[in-house]
Amino acid sequence: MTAALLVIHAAGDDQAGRRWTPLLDAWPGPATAPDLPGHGETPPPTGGHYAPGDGAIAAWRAAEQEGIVDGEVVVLGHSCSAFDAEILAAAGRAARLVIVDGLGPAWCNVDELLADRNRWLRGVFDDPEALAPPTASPDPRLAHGFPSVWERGFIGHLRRSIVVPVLAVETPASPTPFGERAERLADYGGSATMRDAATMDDIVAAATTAAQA
Amino acid sequence: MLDLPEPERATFADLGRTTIRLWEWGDPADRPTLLVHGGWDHGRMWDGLAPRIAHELNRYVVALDVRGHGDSGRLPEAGPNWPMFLLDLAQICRRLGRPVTLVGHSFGGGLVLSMGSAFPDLVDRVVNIDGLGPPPEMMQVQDHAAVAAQWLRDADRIHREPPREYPSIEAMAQKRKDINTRLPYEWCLHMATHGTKRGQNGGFTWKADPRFRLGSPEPFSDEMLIAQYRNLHRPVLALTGTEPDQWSFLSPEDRDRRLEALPDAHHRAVSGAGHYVHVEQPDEVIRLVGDFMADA
Repeated sequence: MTAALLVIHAAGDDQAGRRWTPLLDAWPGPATAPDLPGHGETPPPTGGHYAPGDGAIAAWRAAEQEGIVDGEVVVLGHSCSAFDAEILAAAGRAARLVIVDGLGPAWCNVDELLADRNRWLRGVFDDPEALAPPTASPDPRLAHGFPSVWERGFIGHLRRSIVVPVLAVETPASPTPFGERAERLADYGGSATMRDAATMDDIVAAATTAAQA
Repeated sequence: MLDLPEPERATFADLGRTTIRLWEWGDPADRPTLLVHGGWDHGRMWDGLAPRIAHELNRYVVALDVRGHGDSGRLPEAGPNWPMFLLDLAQICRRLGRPVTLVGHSFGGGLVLSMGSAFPDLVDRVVNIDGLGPPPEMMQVQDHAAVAAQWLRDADRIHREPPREYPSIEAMAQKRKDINTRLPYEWCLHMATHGTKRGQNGGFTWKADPRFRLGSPEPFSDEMLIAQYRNLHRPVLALTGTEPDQWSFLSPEDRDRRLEALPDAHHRAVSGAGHYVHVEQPDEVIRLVGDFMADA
């Protein structure tokens, strides 16, 4: 049986789920790319605050409501939302994991993590639009991104706990230092392969290979 | 029941995306002090100490219900998030108009230390009451798969199920007493009286948002806590109790190592107190906090 596909679009993407229509059309089974809270048609989360990984809960609930999570689910995460997809995979909810430009930016040490969090806090604190009730979509707070989670020990631990097959699709927009790609792929607990892609057509071609086990 | 006066003013701060309950004592022209309660507690935890800080130490005292607690706004569906709490506190401090003395207990103690690191311009000094973080071994997540699975399962369950209802406030006070064995029953009853509301089926539920228990995988470690402490350039008074308490988890060695990371920390161990130092030994806490504030 063909697996279902759950796409978690990049947080802050002004196209939200719509960006992934070509992949949903090409996928041989049921497929969904829900607009995450604060994007597209979906209202912001309670209290209007976002955190790394919180799209995992929202996206899974949307897929549940569409009735596509009873069998195998391939989870695809784009860019920063690859982290959300990895959490679902670590939790055992994904049959296979596809991440697009999701291997992560340069590593931070703990001092840099802290500095990044403080920089993020100050940025939001000084931005009236990021504090006011959201009136636009995507929510203006999302323009600040998230405090970094990209500490090597933490991400390495998380990835070692992912034992399902991983396909990493890398485009020229990837934030990952080129020379670290192979090393990062080796962090996953199961098999992991990489494909290069330049266009959405390439991404669709690569991602649909994950439809069959 | 405890014989404690009601807060002098009860207001709400509309922060745009959420609403925060504030309890106030003293003259707003005096220097501001913000009191931050621990996890699952609420601002009325300070009903004993706050009027004394206001009138014996001449401070304008504000205690808040942290988001997800008491009368304040609810948590996001995905649960609590440390930077979210810091943004709430920073916005309250900004409204107080000048650098604030922050006093935090337990989870709130962790928040006020983070505030000193993230928003030093908003903070003049910090009092931390038994809130120097969990022991290192509790922060070392060995199994992210289990944490992730638990987070998703708990979020599903809370989403589906209504909050648990209890037959009476006294039963909830007793439940609290079973968990906080050193906390006098009268205080458990005080916290339950102000920390509960009517449920949909005629009983009572806790005001605290059940989503506060949700915890997602995140890069939080002993090393990160130490890095944050090293970056806190404000005077800190750290109060701990000398008595064994199931909610005081930190070994003396880990406690001292963390205190050493703080550039300007003063530690006082208060005898005859456990985790709730300010409830168990209020006279001594007022004396120590008064000395610390007078030192400015």
